[in-house]
Amino acid sequence: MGVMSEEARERLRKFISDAAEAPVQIKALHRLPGGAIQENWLLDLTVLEGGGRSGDYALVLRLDAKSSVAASHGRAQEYALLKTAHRTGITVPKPYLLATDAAILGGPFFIMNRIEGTAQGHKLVKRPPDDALAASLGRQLARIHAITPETPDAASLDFLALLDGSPALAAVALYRRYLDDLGQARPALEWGLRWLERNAPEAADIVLCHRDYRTGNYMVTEDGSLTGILDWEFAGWGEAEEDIAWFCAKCWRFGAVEREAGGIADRKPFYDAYEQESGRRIDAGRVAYWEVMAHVRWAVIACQQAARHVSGEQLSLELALTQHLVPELEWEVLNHTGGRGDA
Amino acid sequence: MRDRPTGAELANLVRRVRAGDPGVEVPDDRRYRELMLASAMAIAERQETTGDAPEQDERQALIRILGEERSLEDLNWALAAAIRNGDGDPGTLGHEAIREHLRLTGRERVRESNPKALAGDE
Repeated sequence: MGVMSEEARERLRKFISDAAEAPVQIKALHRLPGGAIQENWLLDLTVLEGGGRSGDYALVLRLDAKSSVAASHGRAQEYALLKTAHRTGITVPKPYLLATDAAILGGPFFIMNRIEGTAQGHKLVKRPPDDALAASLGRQLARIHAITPETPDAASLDFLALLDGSPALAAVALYRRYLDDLGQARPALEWGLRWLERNAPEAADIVLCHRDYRTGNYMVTEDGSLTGILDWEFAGWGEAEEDIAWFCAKCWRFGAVEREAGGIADRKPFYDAYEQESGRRIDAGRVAYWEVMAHVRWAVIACQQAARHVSGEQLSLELALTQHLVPELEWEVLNHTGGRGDA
Repeated sequence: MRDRPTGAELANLVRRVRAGDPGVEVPDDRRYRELMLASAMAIAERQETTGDAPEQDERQALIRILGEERSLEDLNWALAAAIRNGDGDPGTLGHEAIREHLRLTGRERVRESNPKALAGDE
């Protein structure tokens, strides 16, 4: 179990106390499992006397891990995304505090409400099919996509880059650059990227994409209630179908491949709820395109993660095995791009 | 071409974890950790069983496709560049050969990493 030094813990206590304008007592602070890109720390504290703030708080502190993945936002940006999502009524943990002063814990961090439930994909897909949960997730995604560069909420997201041309072609260029940076020859992924380049759809309306909206990144209680959408560090402007495809892609069904909506249900309840909430039709052809992109993207990220192990930067059993997910991701790409039949 | 960590490297990693090496990060959850260790050993054993034959076959196939005698790594770099350049697009001379090569090597790689993923494909 990870622990924080006494000095860091005291700096943290003082920071929160200053923000709360009241004495604060930290009752529990330890690192939670998981989090390859960020460290999540359980934080229980009491604000002793502070106007309307006194009381006990069950929180999560989110801090940069020692390694990051290209394209992930820093904590200040993720905090802004979380605040925007919370303000617009999306189900997320309530954000409380952002610290940009690296002198406190060695890097920026933020503190948010701790929500109930589990996010573990391999456990969620073992539950009975859950159309209601899929519908909740469809509605939540529609609310995320209701945020566009033109909506007033976007003012706080001015750090997100706007694309000039096709988001699909921009993604192809980005993943090629990542492959080049990795220094690995990956003909199967190049095949997929070339297919994605040749078959890129016309640019569609631009919306806020979560970009990691999948089973494993939302919390669900034992009774199936959705308590929060997590992990906003990849969010950006893009096409709605990119998120829909990421959610439904075979690689994010945790083995429950027959349940095409994230391994928890059929696509229909997810799609129906999304369409009803958003008032727009999902383009199945675009979803199919972006599902190929999803497998390419996850394969590239997996290679990036495993490279941290291979280079010796972070020796990890989990990272080492991540590389061995890549062949089946490539196989899936080949299956959908003419690698097994007609092109 | 096999990815790193190779099967032999995975087997060595498993030995380090079993010996309690604190330099290797492992999941806290014991059951999950054991599943990972078993998975790593299974990959290592499959690679040991097949030996060098898949990589030798892959190299010979690439020499036929690209017409050059080079190392397997260099040949894969050349193939990746050719595909990016459009030399494997439908309608090109290389299309069928490259498609078939990727299919064969791809299936072999999945057989080593996670043969269950091929269920229904073979």
